[in-house]
Amino acid sequence: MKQGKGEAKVKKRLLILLAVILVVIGVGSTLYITLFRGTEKTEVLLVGETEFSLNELFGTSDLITVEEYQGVALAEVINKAGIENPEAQEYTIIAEDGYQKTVEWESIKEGIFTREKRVILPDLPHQYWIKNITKIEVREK
Amino acid sequence: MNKTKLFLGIVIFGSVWGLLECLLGSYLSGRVMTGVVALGLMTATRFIYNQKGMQVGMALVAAALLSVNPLGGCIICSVIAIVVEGAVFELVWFAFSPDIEKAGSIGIKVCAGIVTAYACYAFAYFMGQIVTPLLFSNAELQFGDLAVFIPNILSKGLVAGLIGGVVFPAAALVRQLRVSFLRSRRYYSLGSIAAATCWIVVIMCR
Repeated sequence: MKQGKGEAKVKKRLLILLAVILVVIGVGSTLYITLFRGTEKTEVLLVGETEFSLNELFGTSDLITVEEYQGVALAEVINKAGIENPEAQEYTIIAEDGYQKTVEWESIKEGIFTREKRVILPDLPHQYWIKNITKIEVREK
Repeated sequence: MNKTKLFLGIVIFGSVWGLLECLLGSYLSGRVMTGVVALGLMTATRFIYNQKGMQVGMALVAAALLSVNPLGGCIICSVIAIVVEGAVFELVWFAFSPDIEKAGSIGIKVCAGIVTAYACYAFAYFMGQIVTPLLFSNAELQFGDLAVFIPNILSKGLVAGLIGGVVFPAAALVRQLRVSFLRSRRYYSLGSIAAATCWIVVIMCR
């Protein structure tokens, strides 16, 4: 009985300790993001080495509709950025908050980039339909 | 406990959870959904029924209902997240159950809420990001993409945890309703109607 009470006391302390550790981790991560990463709110899209303003991108490209969304074809954006041999590259799409996903040309060529700075990739789950994107990094596979 | 009563409880509260996910999931962030809806329902039912495994069952029912949901964003991610939330809740309670159940002090309840909600949110997020590309898409899983975002997940988990620290003690108050709720003569009829209504509402929205 005494041992049971002792065990319970240890577990309670462990629970409190765990809660404190998680709060410290959460606060530490928040500070890290705020101080060292920040968010990049821009009205431009960087594709490889080329920077496009949204007005430039949407003023010079035809809009197409994928599902219920309207935007410019991602393949056209990649071509305008002068990416050579696009099917041999992989593309990391990066959002303002650092969320990123790497996709292949097969997905890019089906996708669009909307005025709301979102990519729509109809052949992939919605977790790949990244909002507020600022950058598409291109590298060889 | 009578198995039929328990099974109906799983279906009722799993359906309510699923319905709330369908209706609110597009408008509220994952942190709020985990901290308020998921943790609130799982904690309340654990105190009412006091049955191990019930919350995983509820999560499966909610996930099934969500999978027929026409609204919202990533259905697969949400389904995975709900199932993981149920499993993580069970694990935390397995580790600390006698202390949580008998906890008289508000401090322990707050800590239990923080730990459970934080763990549910963070693990659900990780598993959603890992399992979706592996099983449900032709894109490859890129650990580098996930690793870069880990600080954000841990930071968002803090919000879920703090919400959980408030919701858990509040949900634990239903312990006082336990006997009257389960002994009610209308438990079976009202419970069945409530569960069926949740499913009808979601299916009619299709």
